[in-house]
Amino acid sequence: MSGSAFFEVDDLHVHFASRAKLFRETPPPVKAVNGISFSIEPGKTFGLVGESGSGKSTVARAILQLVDVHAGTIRLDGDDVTNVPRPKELAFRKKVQAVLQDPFSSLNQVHQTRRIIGDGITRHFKIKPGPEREQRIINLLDEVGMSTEFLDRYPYEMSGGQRQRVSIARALAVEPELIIADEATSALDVSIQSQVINVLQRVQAETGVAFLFIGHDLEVVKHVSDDVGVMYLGYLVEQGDADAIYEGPTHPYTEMLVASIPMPNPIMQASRRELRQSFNNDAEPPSPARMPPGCPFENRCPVALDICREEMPEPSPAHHGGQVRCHLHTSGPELGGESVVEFIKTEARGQVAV
Amino acid sequence: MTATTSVAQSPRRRFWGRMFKNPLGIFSMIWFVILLIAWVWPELLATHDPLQQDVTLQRLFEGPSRDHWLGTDQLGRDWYSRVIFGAGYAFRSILIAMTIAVVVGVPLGLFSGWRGGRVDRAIMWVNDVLFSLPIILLAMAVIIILTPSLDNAMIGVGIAMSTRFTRLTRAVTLQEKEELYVDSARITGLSTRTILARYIAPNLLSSLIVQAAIISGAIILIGATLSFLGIGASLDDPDWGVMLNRSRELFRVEGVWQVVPPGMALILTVLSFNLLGDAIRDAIGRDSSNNALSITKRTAVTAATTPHATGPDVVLSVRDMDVEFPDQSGRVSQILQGVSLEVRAGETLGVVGESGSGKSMTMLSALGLTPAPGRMTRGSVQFGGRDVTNLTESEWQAIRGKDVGVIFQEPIAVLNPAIKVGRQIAEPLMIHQNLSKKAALQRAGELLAEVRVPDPVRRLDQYPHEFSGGMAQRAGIAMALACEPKLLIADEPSTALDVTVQGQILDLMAEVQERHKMAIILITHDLGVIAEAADRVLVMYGGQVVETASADDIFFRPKHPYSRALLDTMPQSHDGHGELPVIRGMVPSATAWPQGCRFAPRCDFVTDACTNDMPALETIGGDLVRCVRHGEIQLVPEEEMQA
Amino acid sequence: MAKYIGFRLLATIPLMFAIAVVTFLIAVAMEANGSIAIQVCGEGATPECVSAVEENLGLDDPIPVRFIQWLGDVVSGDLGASLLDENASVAGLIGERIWASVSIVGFSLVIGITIGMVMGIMAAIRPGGLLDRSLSIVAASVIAAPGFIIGMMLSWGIAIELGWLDPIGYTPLSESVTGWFTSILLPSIALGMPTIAIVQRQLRSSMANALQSRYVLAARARGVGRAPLIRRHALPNAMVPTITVFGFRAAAAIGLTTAVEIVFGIRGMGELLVTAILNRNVTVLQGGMLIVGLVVAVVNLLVDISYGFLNPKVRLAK
Ligand SMILES: Nc1ncnc2c1ncn2[C@@H]1O[C@H](COP(=O)(O)OP(=O)(O)OP(=O)(O)O)[C@@H](O)[C@H]1O
Ligand code: SF4
Ligand code: SF4
Ligand SMILES: [Mg+2]
Repeated sequence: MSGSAFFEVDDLHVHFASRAKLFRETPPPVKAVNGISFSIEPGKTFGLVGESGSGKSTVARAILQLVDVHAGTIRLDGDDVTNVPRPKELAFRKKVQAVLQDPFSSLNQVHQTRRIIGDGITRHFKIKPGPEREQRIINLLDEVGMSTEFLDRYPYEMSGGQRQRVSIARALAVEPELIIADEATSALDVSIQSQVINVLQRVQAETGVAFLFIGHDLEVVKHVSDDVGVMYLGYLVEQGDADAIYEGPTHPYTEMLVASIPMPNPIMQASRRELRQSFNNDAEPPSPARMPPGCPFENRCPVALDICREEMPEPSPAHHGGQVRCHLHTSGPELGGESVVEFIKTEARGQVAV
Repeated sequence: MTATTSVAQSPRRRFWGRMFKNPLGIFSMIWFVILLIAWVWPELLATHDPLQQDVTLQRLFEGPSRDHWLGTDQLGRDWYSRVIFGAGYAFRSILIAMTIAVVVGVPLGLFSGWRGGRVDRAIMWVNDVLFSLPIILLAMAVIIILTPSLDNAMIGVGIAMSTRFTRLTRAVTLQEKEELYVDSARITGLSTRTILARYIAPNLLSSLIVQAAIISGAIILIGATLSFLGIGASLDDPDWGVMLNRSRELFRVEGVWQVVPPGMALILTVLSFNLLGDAIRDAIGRDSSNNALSITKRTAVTAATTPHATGPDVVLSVRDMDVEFPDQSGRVSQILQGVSLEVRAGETLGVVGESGSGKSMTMLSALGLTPAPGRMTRGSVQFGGRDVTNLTESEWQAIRGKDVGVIFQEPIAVLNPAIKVGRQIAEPLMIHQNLSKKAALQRAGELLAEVRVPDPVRRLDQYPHEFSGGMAQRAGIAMALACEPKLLIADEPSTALDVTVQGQILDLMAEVQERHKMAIILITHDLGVIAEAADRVLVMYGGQVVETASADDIFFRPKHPYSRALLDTMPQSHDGHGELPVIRGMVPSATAWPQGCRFAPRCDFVTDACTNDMPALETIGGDLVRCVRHGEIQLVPEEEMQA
Repeated sequence: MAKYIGFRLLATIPLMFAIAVVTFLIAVAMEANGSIAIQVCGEGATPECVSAVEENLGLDDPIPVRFIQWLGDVVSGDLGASLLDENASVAGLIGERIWASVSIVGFSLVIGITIGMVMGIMAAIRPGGLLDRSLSIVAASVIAAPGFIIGMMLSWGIAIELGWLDPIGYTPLSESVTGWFTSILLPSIALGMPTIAIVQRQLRSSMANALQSRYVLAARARGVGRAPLIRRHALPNAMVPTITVFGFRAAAAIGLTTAVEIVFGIRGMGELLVTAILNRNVTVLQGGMLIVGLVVAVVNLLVDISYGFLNPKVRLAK
């Protein structure tokens, strides 16, 4: 990875220390994020997917300085922004903003839209409440497709989709270079979700802001992203071009995710079901507090090798231009970064007798 | 998530509205006005000098009279006037103790909660030690160090009460600190001071006011107790506690009246503070007077006009169901309107629609579980050919869990946290099949194995919090299937689960359906899940059925514009990264349905005919559709029709 | 469970230590403002008398040394002698009185939790019903009434007017079981009535919450009947906050029994503490507060243990 990217996360680790207990040995820390690296170009979107508890939000919170980084570096415009010190915090906030998951609790219930959006303008551009600030707020509302009648609304007077647009306007207010959208559309109804996604994409086209788009719905993430990363239990198991990964996943877990997406088409879905079922084993993912020494996906993987139980695979290059962390590419069948779909189809059938 | 209520009152208006509607709140406010006058200007209310004794010794221990409204005490002093002057002592006590309690407690709690970590734990440990000691004891400690006086006692009480405020403030701060909007404020770049002052404090304030009202009552009680013991106010003062102290020997001889005037004043004042606290809390918070047991009173249900589906394989048939909810102001909103459905043995009926469209309410109402204060006002329900519309709760008990099993959306929340999972699965078996506990537990183990929970016997002995979401949902399925019901209703069984687990749960349901030949109603908002599992589909919008058809028809030949639009907005329907089709506008709320067709404001095909009258639910060859233009509009492009 | 109880027991030690420190500091503070010596030697005391007293009490040593000495004495059961009467040991004085107080507080708590639970459940079954509304008004009024006023009312009505029981006095359990019971009955009711009301209110509201929960709805959907729904599903969960509140009330009752005892002319801890304060008899007060504090610690321990029984999460937490 070159050191000149606009935004870059390099070997990020976040650990949550367990609380020390009287008369007992302290349990090991929970390793929520384990050596994650990726970069985002200006005006592009990097998507992060994974199941709940895989560490997606922790990555976001680490970038946003809401949790401490254990090791690794985060760079923005060439500056190190890992654990930004207090005096530099304001400058950092000016560049990086966020839209968070829950459209209700991410807005203060006792503030009106004007205040929610205006606070950032006042803070970063030193524009006191007045006509100039008002105009800016109106422009921002317009940008997210809302009229001026919403200026005086409280969050509880708006629908989920409207609240989420206000969140986007609040993020845009400080004219950031990067917006982190953490499950920004997950709580919305499908018809509203598509409205909000369109707003995000239009804003990007107009302002050239970069996005880190986090979600658990691979379909949605793929739709908005240029590149995606797939997380499993704190590891980035695969990353690369969004469409290419979707077409030809190189990691068994990615393939499992893709196969699990239910398609709104009964005929297609009937054939996909069979593929999905070849994965089914009922094991649960290991607890993040007690990670196995080898590949964390090993107990659910239909094509695990012997080495998988002992050794954590290292990242290797994949056909989609990105990287993958799976022994299949370097040991056993030595797929060398090619799609794992065909291999699983033939292998899994034999192994997993349902 | 419900949609906008654009008519929402401002919180302040709603607060005062509720306060003035609460008779107990009004009572306490009136009492406070009297007390305040008694405190600020006692001469205005008093009829005598509270210290004036009867030197003639003629008028001691009198009962109420024109001259002495509440009689006289052992020295012939006027009880009424003494009680009036006593108010001042009570308020003085509150003032001293409350000032100390708030000034010490609130900042400490804020600091401790915001700071967190070791500092927080140390502060809270000391606080909890003090908290657990009797307040009277702490007051005694301060009194003996200084000298016995009410003011000194109140210093002790204030310190003791500060622990209450520290606890509360810290709890609220901790909770608020975790809120996303505080994160958002930090991300915006606001300073800690701004966040504490403008974000945390306002939310803290309401809890503090409630707490302060209740603590004021406690302060008066403790002050009076100390004075009664003779270690509070000076024995010459007209303080309520002191008056009671003087009466404590006399009442045995002179009768109980000697206790009544100061005693009542004391009790009424404390009561008012408590009622005020309750009234404020009720005015702020939500109404909790309804619960799962408050079954709405039976009212006549207007009969359905549409005939029921017939045939030996019809398991459940619902016709023309209306469900209404009165809100707090007594207005009635119609949550469900004319819902009809049926499901046959071996068939899966998918119910799809956006949030708030009434999917869950349909299921609950069909099972007689409409949450209070809602009620079914029209319609008819048949279960296995039997009319169950007007069953009593105990008649329903024999059906629920036995002939119909339910799986809920939140797998962990529906398990009782205090009961072992095995015992919960065994419960329906013990109720409906009269199995012994031992036999039922053994069967529960088999059921867990059947839903492929690894290590089922060990799992029986665990509590719900030891289960992951996916495992809990399997346990939920085991529970619903325990008595091999004829119908399984699954309300968003996989929505809260990861997509990889979702597939497993759906497979599991298909597997058990195959084995037991039961009917399934599968509620979901995800058309993908419908495509995977449903044979027939029912589409809901705004509390109504808008279309029912076979799964293939819904996906390839939809008749209702909403069905079509729902399909289009799914990202799965799109390759590439271009703009997604949307349904404009937003989901309407039950308090303000649009005129005519409820989808009209968002529909691309709307005409005048749509907004005049509500479209009827029409039958077209076995399928239903609610759209006036269903015959004339083309929802499927030609080329797709051929494919 | 045994492990949990053991752990809670260990956790009580620092609490007891903290109580000891607070108690000890009272004497230090009193000595700092010179009030101890004055109490013994009288106002306008000669400096000789003062220094004699201070030497006697060992007040010359540095504070930590004195604390350790004092703590050593306390642990071996020696609470010193009364400041005003060298022949009266504080431990002896307390021993004479503590059982009356413990009887009243203990019995009042038994009354409070049992009757309070029954009434709380009755109110929760039909929220908003006639019973619920009348109980809630009665409960609010009783919570507002201090035990000593209730005591005076009971004493006047039941003991004096009706003559059913003695209005004053305490009979130790060792003398007569029925005598003991009748002598603590009225004081316990007086002290227990607010406890009943507090338990009732809390249980009613936490039952209402539990009955609104998803798991109760789910149990109904399984065909669970009304009675088991309340008894097995709602009650155990509703008891957790109720026990918390009951624990707070228990501590408060230990303090409030002083006033109730005085109404019924019972020579318990109340009288001992109040006279000690009025006489500024620091050794007696210290000893008395220490013992009361320890009783509170024991009550807290019992509350914690019952949590463990009610809440599997607490019990199983590692
Ligand atoms: N207890 C209640 N009191 C008043 N209104 C209620 C109550 N429960 C639900 N509603 C209202 O009934 C309507 C239908 O709710 P329902 O839960 O059936 O929707 P749903 O389709 O299941 O939505 P979701 O997809 O969010 O689960 C909504 O407008 C909701 O606000
Ligand atoms: S490393 Fe092994 S276990 Fe892990 S995903 Fe690859 S093949 Fe499966
Ligand atoms: S009735 Fe009219 S508005 Fe309603 S769905 Fe049909 S075309 Fe659209
Ligand atoms: Mg629902």
